[in-house]
Amino acid sequence: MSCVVEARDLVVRLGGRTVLSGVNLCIKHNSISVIMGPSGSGKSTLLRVINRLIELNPEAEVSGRVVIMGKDIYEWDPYELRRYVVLVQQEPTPFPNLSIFDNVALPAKLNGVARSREEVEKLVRWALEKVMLWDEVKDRLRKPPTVLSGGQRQRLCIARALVLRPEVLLLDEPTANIDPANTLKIEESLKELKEDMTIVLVTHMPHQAARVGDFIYVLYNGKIIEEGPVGEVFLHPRHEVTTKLLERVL
Amino acid sequence: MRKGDRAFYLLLVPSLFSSAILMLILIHVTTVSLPAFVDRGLSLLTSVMWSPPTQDYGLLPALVGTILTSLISIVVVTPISLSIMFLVGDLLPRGLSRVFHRLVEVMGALPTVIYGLWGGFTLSRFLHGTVYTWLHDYLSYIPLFSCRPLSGQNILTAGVVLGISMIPYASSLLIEGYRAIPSRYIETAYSLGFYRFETYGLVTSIMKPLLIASIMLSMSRALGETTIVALTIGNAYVASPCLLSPGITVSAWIVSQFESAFIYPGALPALYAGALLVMVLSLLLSFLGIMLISKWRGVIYG
Ligand SMILES: Nc1ncnc2c1ncn2[C@@H]1O[C@H](COP(=O)(O)OP(=O)(O)OP(=O)(O)O)[C@@H](O)[C@H]1O
Ligand SMILES: [Mg+2]
Repeated sequence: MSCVVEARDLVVRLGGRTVLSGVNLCIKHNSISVIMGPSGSGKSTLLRVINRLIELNPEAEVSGRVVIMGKDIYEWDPYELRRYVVLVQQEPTPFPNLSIFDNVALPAKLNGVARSREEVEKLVRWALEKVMLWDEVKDRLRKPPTVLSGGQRQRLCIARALVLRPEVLLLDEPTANIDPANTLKIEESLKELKEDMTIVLVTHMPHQAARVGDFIYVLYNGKIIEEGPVGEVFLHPRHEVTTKLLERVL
Repeated sequence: MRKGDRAFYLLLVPSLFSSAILMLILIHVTTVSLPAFVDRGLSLLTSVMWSPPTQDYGLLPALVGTILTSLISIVVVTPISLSIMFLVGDLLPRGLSRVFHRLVEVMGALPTVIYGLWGGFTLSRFLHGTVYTWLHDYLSYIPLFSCRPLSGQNILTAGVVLGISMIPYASSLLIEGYRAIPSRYIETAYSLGFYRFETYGLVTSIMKPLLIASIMLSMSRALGETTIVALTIGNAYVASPCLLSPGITVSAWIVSQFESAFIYPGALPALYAGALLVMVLSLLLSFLGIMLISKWRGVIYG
C-alpha cells in the first residue's frame, strides 16, 4: 500500500492546546480525499502540517510523522515541499498589487517552471482553463483581481497553485461563501485535475463530498473518528458525529 | 442644550483653535513674503547672492542645499527602515523583536541637537578621514564628488545625519504598514513555496504605495529640519552640486540671519519667502503621503 501523504500518530499543539491528537492517514495517488468535521476540529491545522506551513506559527509543536512521497517532511526542504504540496487557503487571497495575469504567473516565474515569456503565457492560460476561468478573464488579464467576484477569485487562487504543477493539492474549503455556479465549476475542475495530482479537500458540504470525493476522513476534536470510501461511509456512518455532519446538523 | 451637546461644543473649540492657528500662520507667512516675490521676481529663486548692504537676496544656495540634504536623507533612511521593518516584523523572534522595536523608538526621543552634535563633531570627522577622501580620489569625475572635501561638515554629512535621525519615524510608519498587511498574504506566499526573500519582494511590492508615502512624509520632515543641519552642513552660502562642499539650507539660513534681517530692508521678506516655499512643499508632500496611505489601506483590505 503506497500513500502519497502518510501521517502516523500526528499530534499538534498550538499555544499549549492540543489541536490534533494522534491522526493517522494514508492518502492515495490520484484520488480526492475529503476531510469533514465541525468547526474547530482541526481541519485547517491538518493541511497546514502537511506542507509545513504551520512552522510560521512559532507556538506550534508537532510530533509524530508525516511522510510525503516516501520522504519524511522534515527531510524535505520546506520551501521545496510547499511547491510539491501546495495549499490553497480558506479565504481567497489574490495578491492585491498584481494583475490577474501576474497573480498566476508569479509563482511560475519564481519557481522556474516556465522561463520564456511564451512558456509563462502558455502555463497561465492552461491553469486558468483548468479552473474554467480563462473565458471569463481573457479580456482583462491586466486588471487587478478586485474586479473579480469571490468565486472567480477563489478559482484564480487555485489556478495560481496549479502553475506549480503540484503532486498534492490541498484545498481548504474552496467553495465556502461561493455561489452554486462557481461551486460546480470548481468541482468539475477537481474531477479533471485528479488525473494529474492527488487532492485533499476540506469541505463543510456533504453533497460536495459525495459528488467529488473518493475517500472521506471525519475529524472531530483533533481525532479521525471515521474513514473509508465515500460511498460506504455515506451509506453506513458508524459515528453519530458523522451522521450529524452528513445531515448538516453540525 | 443637552449635556452631550455641550461636550461636543467644548471639544469643538480647541479643534477649531488649532485649524485657525494653521490658517493664521499661512496668512502671516504669505503676506510678509509677498513683497519679496513681487520686487525680485524670479531672481529671488535663481540668484546665488545674499548681500544685505547691496540688497541682493537670492535663495538659490539655500534651496539647493535643502533639496540635496533631503534627497540624501531619503537615500539613507529608506533602505535602513525597510530592513528594520523586516527585522522587527518577521525575522526576529517575538521577544527580541519587541526589544529592538523599543530601542528604535527610544532613538526617536533623542533631541535633534544630540544628533547634530554627534554628526557635526564625531561622524563628520570620521567620514572625512575615510569615505570622503576616497570618494573624491576615485569618483571625482562625478560632479557630486568633484570638489575636494575640506572638512567633514558638508552637504553629504548633513543629509546622512538627517537620514539617521529619521530612522525611528520612517521605520514606525513602515512597521505599522507591514502589520496592517493581512497575514494571509504572507502565508499565501509561503504556501506557494516562496522563499523568504521572494516573500519579502512580494511584500515590498504590496507596500510600494506605502513606501512612497513614507518617503514623502520623511522628505516633508527633512525639508524643515533645522538644528541637525545647522550643526553639520558647514553653513556656507554657496550653491554647489558637489555634496562634499559645505552648504546651507533654508531653515538653517533663516535661523542664522533672523536677527540681522530686521536691520536691512528686504531681508525679512526674502527669508519669509524661503520659509513659504519650504512650508508649501512640506505640506504638499505630507498631504499626498497621507492620501496615499489611506488609499493603500483600501486596496489591501479590499
Ligand atoms: N494560532 C493558533 N493558536 C492557538 N490555537 C489555534 C490557532 N489556530 C487555530 N487554533 C485552534 O485550533 C483549533 C483547530 O483550528 P482549525 O483552524 O484547524 O479548525 P478547522 O477545523 O479548520 O475549523 P473551521 O471549520 O472553522 O475552519 C481551533 O480550536 C482553534 O481555536
Ligand atoms: Mg479551517
